Amino acid sequence: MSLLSTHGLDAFYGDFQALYGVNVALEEGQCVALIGPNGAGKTTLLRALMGWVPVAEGMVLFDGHQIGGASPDRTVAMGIASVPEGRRLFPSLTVDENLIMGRESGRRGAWTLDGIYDLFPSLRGRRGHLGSGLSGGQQQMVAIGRALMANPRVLLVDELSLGLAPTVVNDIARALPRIRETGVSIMLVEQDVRRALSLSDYAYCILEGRINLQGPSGELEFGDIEKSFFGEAA
Amino acid sequence: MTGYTVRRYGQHHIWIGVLALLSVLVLAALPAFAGKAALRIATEMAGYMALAVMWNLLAGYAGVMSIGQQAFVGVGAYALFVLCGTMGLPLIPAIIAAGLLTTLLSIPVGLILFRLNGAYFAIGTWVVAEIFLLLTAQSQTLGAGAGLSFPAGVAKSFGTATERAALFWWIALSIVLLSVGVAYLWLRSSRGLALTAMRDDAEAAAGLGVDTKRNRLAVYLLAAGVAGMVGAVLFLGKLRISPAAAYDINEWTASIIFIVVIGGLGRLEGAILGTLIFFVLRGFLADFGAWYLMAMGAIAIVVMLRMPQGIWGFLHERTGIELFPMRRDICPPKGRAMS
Amino acid sequence: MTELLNSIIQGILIGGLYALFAAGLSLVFGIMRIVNLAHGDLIVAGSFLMYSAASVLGLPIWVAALLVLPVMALLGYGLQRSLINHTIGTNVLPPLLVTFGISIILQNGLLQLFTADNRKLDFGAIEVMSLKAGPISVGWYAILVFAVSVATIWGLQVLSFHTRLGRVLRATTDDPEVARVMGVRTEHVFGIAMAIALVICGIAGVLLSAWTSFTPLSGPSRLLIAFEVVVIGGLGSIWGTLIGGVVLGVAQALGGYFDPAWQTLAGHISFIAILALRPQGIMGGRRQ
Repeated sequence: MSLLSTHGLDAFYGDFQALYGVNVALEEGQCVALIGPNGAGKTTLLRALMGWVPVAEGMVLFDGHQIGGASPDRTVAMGIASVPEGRRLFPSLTVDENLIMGRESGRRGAWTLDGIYDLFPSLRGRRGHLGSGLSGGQQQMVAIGRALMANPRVLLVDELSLGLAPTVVNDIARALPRIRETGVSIMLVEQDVRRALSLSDYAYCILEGRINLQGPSGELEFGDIEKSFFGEAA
Repeated sequence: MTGYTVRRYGQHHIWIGVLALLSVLVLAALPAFAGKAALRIATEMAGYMALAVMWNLLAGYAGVMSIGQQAFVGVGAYALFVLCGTMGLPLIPAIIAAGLLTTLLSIPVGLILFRLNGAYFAIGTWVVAEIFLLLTAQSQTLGAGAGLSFPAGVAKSFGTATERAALFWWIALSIVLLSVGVAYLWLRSSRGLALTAMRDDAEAAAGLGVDTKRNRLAVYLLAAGVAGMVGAVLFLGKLRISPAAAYDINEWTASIIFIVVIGGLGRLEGAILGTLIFFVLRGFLADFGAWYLMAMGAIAIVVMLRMPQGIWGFLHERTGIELFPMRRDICPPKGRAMS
Repeated sequence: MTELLNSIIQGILIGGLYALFAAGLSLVFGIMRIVNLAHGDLIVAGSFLMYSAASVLGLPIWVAALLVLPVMALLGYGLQRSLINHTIGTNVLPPLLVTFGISIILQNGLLQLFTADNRKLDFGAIEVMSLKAGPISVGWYAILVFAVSVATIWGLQVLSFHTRLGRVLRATTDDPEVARVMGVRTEHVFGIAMAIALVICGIAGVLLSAWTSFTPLSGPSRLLIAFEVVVIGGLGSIWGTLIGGVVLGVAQALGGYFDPAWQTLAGHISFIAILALRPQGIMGGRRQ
């Protein structure tokens, strides 16, 4: 049984239907990538998993329980932490305080402030700085660290590399295997297809609210993915 | 796009128009069969209705939340007492002058207050009303805290008590018809389309090039002018004015908000229906004093939470009924289906 | 000249109390983006609770004062969870209208219970004792009120920046959506924020109950003062409220010094002047 899975997931923004019967699965210890063009529904899918978008109860299963429609504060308490699109640090809180906010879910475990600073050493010197005063890469590190402070079983990362310099993304990407070593499963949305495939074990391509290509990351052909972006059969 | 037409009226609107014309005629003839007391109440109702239509235009369409319209009611009323009562200007020009004065006054007030957003704007309007109240109460010419009486001689020149009641009723009726008419035509114009877009989503409307600030200010000026004229005619009927009564937030704003919320925010018909409901409730419950006001507060809360579209909005959603056709149906040319 | 100086000192001291009026309003606005139109009536409700406990039940002043605060906290949490939380969204109207409704119910409920008579509590000798330094004389009660006000605002500052609750409040102020993703139950946090705001209202109400007379209809003028202080001081600044309070207090004192009738008016006019000249307020740097 998968750790986290969706079953015929439909999601709406008002009258607009963003997802149509989507089935995805994340196994314990796995890293799954969601790829697809802008507006395809990747972010909506993550939002449905974390509870930002209301969906029917049975459409999302986590550890054998139906959790569709649970509010974000409940999903994080169950162990699904997220790095929202655009990082969204608390601008008037310091780096330390931002990270500590991750503990509000009440989950205790291996991740501590020191653990986060070991993972991202460049943050250590910025502990007392306000979240709004950091570079984009550092903000992303804080956002990931903040989610890890919830000691989650699943980490949802929306737009890992968006707007960041390649060297900075490399630094952050290098941390992912170390995060997985601690037993955290990851689902990430990533625009850069090659990077998405290299980081993940399995990938789903989403187009216009539907999965139109999926497979183990090592076996997916770049050309097929490119075609799937334009709605052509692979 | 050639061949598409915009249809703005339905068949039944012709009948509603005929019905409306008939009701106006009946209302105009009211003095022929109603007594003094009934005319006084009708006059009051017309005044409240005009204020409610304007408040609805402000809050329901332009998204301008003013809780300080009593400022303009008060200034308009005092203007009439001075212009007509003291300085001897004829009645009708004096009422129009009162409206012009409050419109003019609302320009600097609006320009300063529009620096505040949303809720802060609301309280800012109230502060301005308090300033007007305190300044009026300072002025010996305006009778200070005790206020003024309308000179009996001037009042008598308008005719007997019954004739006066009829005259004041016709004036109030004109003001309410003017308010409803202007509001309706405005909402149907392209400017009104902009207002409706602002009601639905101010940010998006601004993004599409709707000048939200100018539209807001324009509605604010109009509402101030109407409030001034309503103040003038209602206090003329009372023949007495004092700062506390003229700038009373409960009377000129709280009641009006109640009317609009109950009737239906963002619906022109809502203000009319709300006024009727308000006067019925007041007629039955006013003797209960504080309990009556508490009940009004509670009803407003419940409606806001449970039926935010108000009673007219509720009816409209169920039946599609509308007295003032606002919708535009796009009709495809014959022989071609809309894609 | 000394009389003028005395007025200014009096104005500064009452400014502390005005800052208390504003602190709760500002806290609630910051975190929920709503203005509570019943804020002034809730201060008055605090005064009437004090009056009931001290004069009607005959409890000692200190006991009565300490009793008012938890009652206010419960009232705040209850109002928020039962009514105000349901109005929070993108539209500014529902919270304004609902709190306006609460204001009308409170005013008329108090009127029904306590009549429209003027009330004032007697806190005993401290009200008439004064500190004299040459020609200047300052009442001890005014000094006490100022001290309690400053201490309360300092306490709010400590709470905001040195406690877990304060961190959660600030995070929710920054971004309620993401705070929820961190596991914060925002509806509960909103309730706590309103409870804190009403405890501050309670402190203000208790202090005010012996400062000047009050009636069930005194609320709106308190709300206006609170609001003016917030705008003068600048949104979102805790110490800004103290400065705003002092500015308003001194403006009123100066107005009152030249003509007693101008006291309130001078306050309102200073507000409009600041709004026209410096709309972000004296301490306000960041605009919402």
